Amino acid sequence: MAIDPHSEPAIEEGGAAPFPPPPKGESGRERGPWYLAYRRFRRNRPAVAFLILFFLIVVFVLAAPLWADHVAHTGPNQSHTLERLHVGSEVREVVTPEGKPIGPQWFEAGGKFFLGADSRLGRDEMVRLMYGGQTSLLVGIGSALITTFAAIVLGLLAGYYRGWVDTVIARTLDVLWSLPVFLIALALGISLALGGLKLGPIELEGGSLWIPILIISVFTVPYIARPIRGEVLTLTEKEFVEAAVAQGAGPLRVMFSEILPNLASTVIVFFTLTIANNMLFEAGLSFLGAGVQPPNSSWGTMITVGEELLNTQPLLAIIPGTMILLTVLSLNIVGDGLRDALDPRAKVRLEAHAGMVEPKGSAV
Amino acid sequence: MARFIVRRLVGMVAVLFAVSVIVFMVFNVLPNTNPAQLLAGKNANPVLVKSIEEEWGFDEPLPVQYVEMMKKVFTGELTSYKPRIPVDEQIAQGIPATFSLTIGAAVIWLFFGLLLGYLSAIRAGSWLDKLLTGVAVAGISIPVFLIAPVLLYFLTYKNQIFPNGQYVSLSEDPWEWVQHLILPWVTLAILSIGFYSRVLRSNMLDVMNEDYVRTARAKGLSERRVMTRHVLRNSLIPIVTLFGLDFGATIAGTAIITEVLYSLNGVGAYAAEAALKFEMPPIIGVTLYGAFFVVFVNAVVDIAYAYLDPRVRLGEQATG
Repeated sequence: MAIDPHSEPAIEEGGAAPFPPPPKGESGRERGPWYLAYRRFRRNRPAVAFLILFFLIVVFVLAAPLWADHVAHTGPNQSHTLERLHVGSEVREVVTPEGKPIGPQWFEAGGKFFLGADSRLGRDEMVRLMYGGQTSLLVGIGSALITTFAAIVLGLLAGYYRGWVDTVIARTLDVLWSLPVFLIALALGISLALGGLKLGPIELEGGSLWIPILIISVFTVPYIARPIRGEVLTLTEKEFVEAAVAQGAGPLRVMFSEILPNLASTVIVFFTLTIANNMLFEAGLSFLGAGVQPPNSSWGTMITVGEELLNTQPLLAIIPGTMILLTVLSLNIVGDGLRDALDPRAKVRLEAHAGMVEPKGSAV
Repeated sequence: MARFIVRRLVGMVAVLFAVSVIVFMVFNVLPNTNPAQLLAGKNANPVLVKSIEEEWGFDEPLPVQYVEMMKKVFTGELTSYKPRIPVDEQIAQGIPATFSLTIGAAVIWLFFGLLLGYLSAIRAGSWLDKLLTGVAVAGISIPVFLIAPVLLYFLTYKNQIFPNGQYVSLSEDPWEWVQHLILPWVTLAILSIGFYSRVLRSNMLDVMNEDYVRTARAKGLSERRVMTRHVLRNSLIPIVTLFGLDFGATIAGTAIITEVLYSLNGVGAYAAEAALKFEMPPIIGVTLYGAFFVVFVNAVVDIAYAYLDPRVRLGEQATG
């Protein structure tokens, strides 16, 4: 697969011919659209770099148990308030009598309290950061999966059946769209965290991670379902759908094997951007106490804890915030890169500007 | 046009009704908790719980409770549980801080967002464009709860340049008002600066492709005039819609976190505090008044839009 990107004329530079003939592989066979997208993506260096960064972050949070067991020798919720650290000949208190937690020790204490302790509870900040990252990513990815799935189903149904089905779905999405979403999610998060959820067969404990995941999923559906519905509306007018119907394909078959594959690029891009968006949502809810519940950590709850000690230990609030920034930034850049790679029409549209030099733009 | 306005206003009322039902359900149907029990505390005796239930009407059937609640909303009799303070008074108290924060931030984000978007569109493909695009992506990715601690630590604690949050009213001392609000404004604006500059850039790149832009060039207008009079002006229309949607959403979203971070006693901070104490009436009040505001602004924007662009009021796009 190792193809030198310079050995073939770059597609983007063919300003005069917006649709150059698809490049041929070694066997002379035409390359598929996915391969072309892959090549376009690979040439986008910032996107590749940030994709690598995202994987590094995932590896970092997945390594939490290893770090906890073999380096820090403590758990994420374990308190060390009254303990002392022996650093060389020096003895340091994990939490001073005034309640000030110890600062970053790096490797001085053999990896214990690498980033210091989190509060007067004296928990290991580094261990909490890694486990909290697992929670934040899990909520972000989990809710993005549910959101995307629900949005695809709703968008397909509304766009395919039209009529009253479309009216009901589109109006419901409109209502959700115009709600003060964050405020309601906040209220819902708190009321469910207190008493748990009991809705038909679903029964959840107050501290369950499913609660923030479900809340975030529900409120972000319209942002994806509306564009998908629009795209389905256009796709159902296309000849290939007519052809499938003429061949006797049923509605499910048309929706899932004819229309859905054509939505793939939209869905992939939205999915990536939704993870980023939902992670910010989770951090916001958790920051205000309505998301992930203590003692579990997430990057949002860690900022709340750290904020109180901003004057003396600023890193406690800044480090989890920076982790959120890096994750969200990498997802946003990868999402933009995917959009440029998967939707060459948008690319051509942007490139076609009279005499412009290859704007590497992203259509927002 | 009149028909469009009527349809839009009817839609608005329907949405508000749906919002009130949803908010009511969120508190009364979904949670597996008894509000009277929560108010009475963990170890309260059943007699106390019973009396609280009767006092606040928690024992009534749900539709009755809903009607009672809505009556209170319209008559302004909604009061918080403990202490009993009228909700509309509290909201009125918070409005100056919230509006100072969001309007000030909106001025900043519109100015810089449009400036950066314009610069990056007219120089599309240059190093400046690449730099600004990078800045914009970074801007939309920075969470407010990273900006605020960084700004507070470096500019308030370490070097006492700006005061630490709190709200000083404009009529009391305009200079103090500005000083206290600069950090919150910047915090709230950064995200939208990135977003607006991206939207404007891509709108402008689309518009540059239109025939009338070619015509404008062909009749010998200067490039600057083409860009400002023809391209920029037409690219601003979608921005107006976006701003209408966004401004309301910011008040009910990011502004809440910003108010809490900087201890500005605005409506958002009031709602967040109420939510933490499981105080239902303030949340219902803030959500409904907030939703009214959002929906109303959306309707006004839609109507303005339909007035400017006849295709909207005739075609399918007229949603809501």
